[in-house]
Order: sequence, then structure tokens, then C-alpha cells
Amino acid sequence: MLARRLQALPPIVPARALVVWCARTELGVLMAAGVEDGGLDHLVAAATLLGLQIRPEWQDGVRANLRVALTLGAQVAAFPLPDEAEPAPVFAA
Amino acid sequence: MTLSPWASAAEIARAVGAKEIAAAAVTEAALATIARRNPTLNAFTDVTAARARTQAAKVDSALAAGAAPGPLAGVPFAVKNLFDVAGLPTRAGSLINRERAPATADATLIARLEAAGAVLLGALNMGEYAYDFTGENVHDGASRNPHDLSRMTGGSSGGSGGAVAGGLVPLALGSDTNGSIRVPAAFCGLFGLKPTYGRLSRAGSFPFVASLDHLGPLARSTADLALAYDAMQGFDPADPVCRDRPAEPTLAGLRRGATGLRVAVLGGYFARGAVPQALEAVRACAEALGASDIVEIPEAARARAAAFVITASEGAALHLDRLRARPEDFDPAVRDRLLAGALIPAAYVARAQKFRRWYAAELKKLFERFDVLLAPATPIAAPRLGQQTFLLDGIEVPLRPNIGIYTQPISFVGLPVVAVPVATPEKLPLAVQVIAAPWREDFSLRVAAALEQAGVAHAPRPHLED
Repeated sequence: MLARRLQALPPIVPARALVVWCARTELGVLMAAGVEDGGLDHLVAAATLLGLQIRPEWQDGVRANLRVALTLGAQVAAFPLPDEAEPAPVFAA
Repeated sequence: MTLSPWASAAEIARAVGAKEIAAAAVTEAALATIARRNPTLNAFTDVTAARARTQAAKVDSALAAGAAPGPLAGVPFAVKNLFDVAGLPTRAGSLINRERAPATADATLIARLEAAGAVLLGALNMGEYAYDFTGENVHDGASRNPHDLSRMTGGSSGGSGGAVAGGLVPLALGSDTNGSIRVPAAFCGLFGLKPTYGRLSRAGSFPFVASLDHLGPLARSTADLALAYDAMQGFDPADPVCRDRPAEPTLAGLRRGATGLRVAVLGGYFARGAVPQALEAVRACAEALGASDIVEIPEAARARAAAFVITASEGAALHLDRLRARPEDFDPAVRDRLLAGALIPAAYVARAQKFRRWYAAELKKLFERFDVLLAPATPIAAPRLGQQTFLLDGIEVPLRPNIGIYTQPISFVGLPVVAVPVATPEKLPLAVQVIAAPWREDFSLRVAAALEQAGVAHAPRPHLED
């Protein structure tokens, strides 16, 4: 949903293009560009719901890291899996 | 008799067991080496000298009374400071946790090594809360690479790498959530073992990402890794993830080398982006082993992405209260990553855990055809302290999140790996990951021993001015 919402924004680089680009490069190269600032605002604002304070001087660093995490999260979510696929929150070898 | 600071754990244990040298003398020599070199290397954050002298005396008394020597009799060792050491606050590289009450008991793995006769000398520097690949620490200062003091040890087990590579101890314990044993092994030129997830007890260690955390040893030889690993195996009900499996000793099997093992090189994702020396190290290992097959792990990049997302989210959840109450007391680089991790949509994390099972099943298929897989440990050799970016596939990328691109897809599904140091024409070492199927640490160690025997792998000795 987030990826869709990001696509609806006037992006510098469309979220889908970013995901495709990351998949194509395969190394998941972590460029901080791609997820447009407006798309991050509501997530960063949600920090207050968690009781977290993001001071103005921390904003750039947090946003840069969040862009990376969202890019990689979208890459993972783009992988097709059946509804029945079981998660492995604790891996048992 | 005197022993060099570069004596192996096996050599020390043999000499102490044969009463050619007292454990007390080995301990005093190691404490003197630490006193000389640690101001430069910044590997130790705590030196437990009194405790070490007591333990060494106990080892000597038992031997004098006719007891059989333990397999690690008199061997000095140290642990990353996220291990509980009775009497010390478990700081886990942080400012906040060092205010905690001292631990009242040792971590399980410390107790097991001491039961085998080893002597704990102290706790080691690390990246804050283990969310780090550099070995830098804003509170305790950076651990420094013995091969070039201006460079990183790698992290987050940075002090563990520096202490063993610098000859302060022959053996150290570290933790590896996404590569934190294998990266320092590569940058410092050491052998490092990340066992199968659930093999070694994590009881008495400060966590990072519960579903990815592993503990393991770093040493200057395969035999020393196996000695330590064998002494630490066994079920521990105090760690709910530790599997109830019988110990499977590996030391005696090392002499079998790679005979009968099917070895392949990982291509695709693992063959792109690294500096030529890292790929050349893999090629040299493959050639020594007669391995010509090249195989690809499907969706390795996505596995890395999933490990990244789970780490950021689970790590943030772990530290949520501290992030609320004392955000200014975190290392700024760690704080920013954790704050961002707290904001990742839950759906991404759930999908990552679903993907994880699919990926594990794909790897299982690969291990029906091969016993061991080879891949680079890091894309580059040790960066300079303070370095923020590096070139990956010709693109300048941030350093911290990208050092682990080759380690993360492996630990993501808990596979056992030995990082094997390979000398390069340049001054700085690199390492190759020797990866096996779950519970086959013996295969990884046998191949590491074969590479050592062939002269391809060895822990280079740095030039340190005492």
C-alpha cells in the first residue's frame, strides 16, 4: 500500500521504477534517492504515536535510513508468494 | 619455556597440559601483551586480570593434583562486551547499558570455555548494540586494525578481530547477526565461525535481532576454531533457540580435509560488485579445492533486503524504550537507523519472514547437489576509519549498510559459515565464506583446514611496534 501511495505522489523517481531498478541491479544498491520526501512525512510523523521524538537535527539521518528501508521493504514485498506461505520468524534449520 | 604471543590455542593447551609452562605464566604474558598493545589497538574495554590469575591458578592446581588437562588448558581468551561477565555491566558497546548492575553470572559459552581450561582475560570493544559493520564506537573509540592502524577492524565484533589479529589473545568470541564475525575476520585476516542458528547457546548475551543472532569464535587457525567450537557445543535450556542436539565434535575430522566433499562457487549476486582481489581470493580457494562448478542462489539480493528489513524492525522494537527515554545517549549513526527501523510498515516485515521460509527451501535444494559453497565475505578490504562511502559496482554507496551484502543472504537462514582469510598482493587481507548446509559445521571446518593446508588460507601476522 505504501508503494502505491508513493506512486500516487509526484515523485522524483517513481517507487515502482526504484523497485525495478533495485531488482535489476540485484546488489540492492542503497542510494538514498528515490523515495520522495513527501512520501516519508506521514511515517516520520507517526513516530509520535510510538512515543519517539525525532529532533530537527536528526531528521536527515532518519529519513535517509527510512528511504533505504522502504526501498528494500518494497523489493521484498514485490516477490510473489501464495497466501498459504508460512512465515519463518524464528528460523529452525 | 616461553611462548610467543602468536602461539596458537592448540600449542598453548598442549604445553600447559604437558606442564612445560604454567597457565599462570601464559596468563601473565598475555596480560603484559595487552598492556603494551591495547593502548594502540583499543580492542579491550575491560581487562579482568584478577579473575584471570585466579582461573590460571586453578588450572595449574588441578594439573598438579593429577587431573586430566582440559582441551583448552591455560588458553587466554576474551569476549565481545555483549557477553555477560560476572562482575561487569554488560555494556554491549553502549553508553546506556554500562549503567546497568554488574552481571551476576557468566554467559554459558564463557562457562563452557573455562570448564575446558581456558582463561578469560576480559571484554572487547564492539559497535553499539551490534548494529554495525565498522568496529567504530563513539563511546569507547574505534577498535583499530592491527594490519593498518588507520583502518577499520570491521564490526560489530571489532575488538574481537583486533585482539586476535594483534596477538593479544589466540581466541575471542563474537556475535554475528548479519556478518559481525565474518566481516572482522575478513578485515583483520582471521578464521571466524558463525555456526548454524540454534547450535551454540546465546544465554547470557545481550541480544540484537532474536531471529538472526548467533555467537561464535574467531581465531588464527582452523584447529583453534574447532577446539573452541567443540568445547562450546551442547544443549542449553537457558536459550530457547538452542536446539537439543548431541555435540558433534569437529577437531578430529579436520585431517580429512575436503576429500569427498562437493564444492561449488557462488556466482551471480556473489560474483558482482566486489573489488577484483575479493573475487580472486574466491577463485584461488576454488582452484585449490578443484571446484569448477558455479551455481547461483536464487533471489539472494531479495534475501539481503529481507534481512535488512527484519533487522531494522526487530532491532528498533528491542530498543524502543531506550529510544524514547534517552535517544541522545545513542551513537548517532545507530540511533538514526533504529528510529527509522521503528517506522517500517509491519506488512514489509511480515512479508520478509514469509520470504525467508521460501528462500531457505531453495537453499536446501542447492545443498542436495553440493556440500559446500564459496563466496566472498566482503566486497572490499578494510576501509579507513571514518570512511563513509565506497564504490560498489562503480556506484558510490554508503559504507555502513553495504559491507554486509555477501554475508547477510547467508546468515538470513542460519547457515554455518567459516570465514577463511586469504592473503592478497596488497597489505590488507580479505576472507572467503565457506558455507555449508544447516548443522554441517564439520564440512565448513574441513574445507577451511584443507585451504590452510594448501597454503591458500592463513592469518597474516601484522607488524606491530611494541
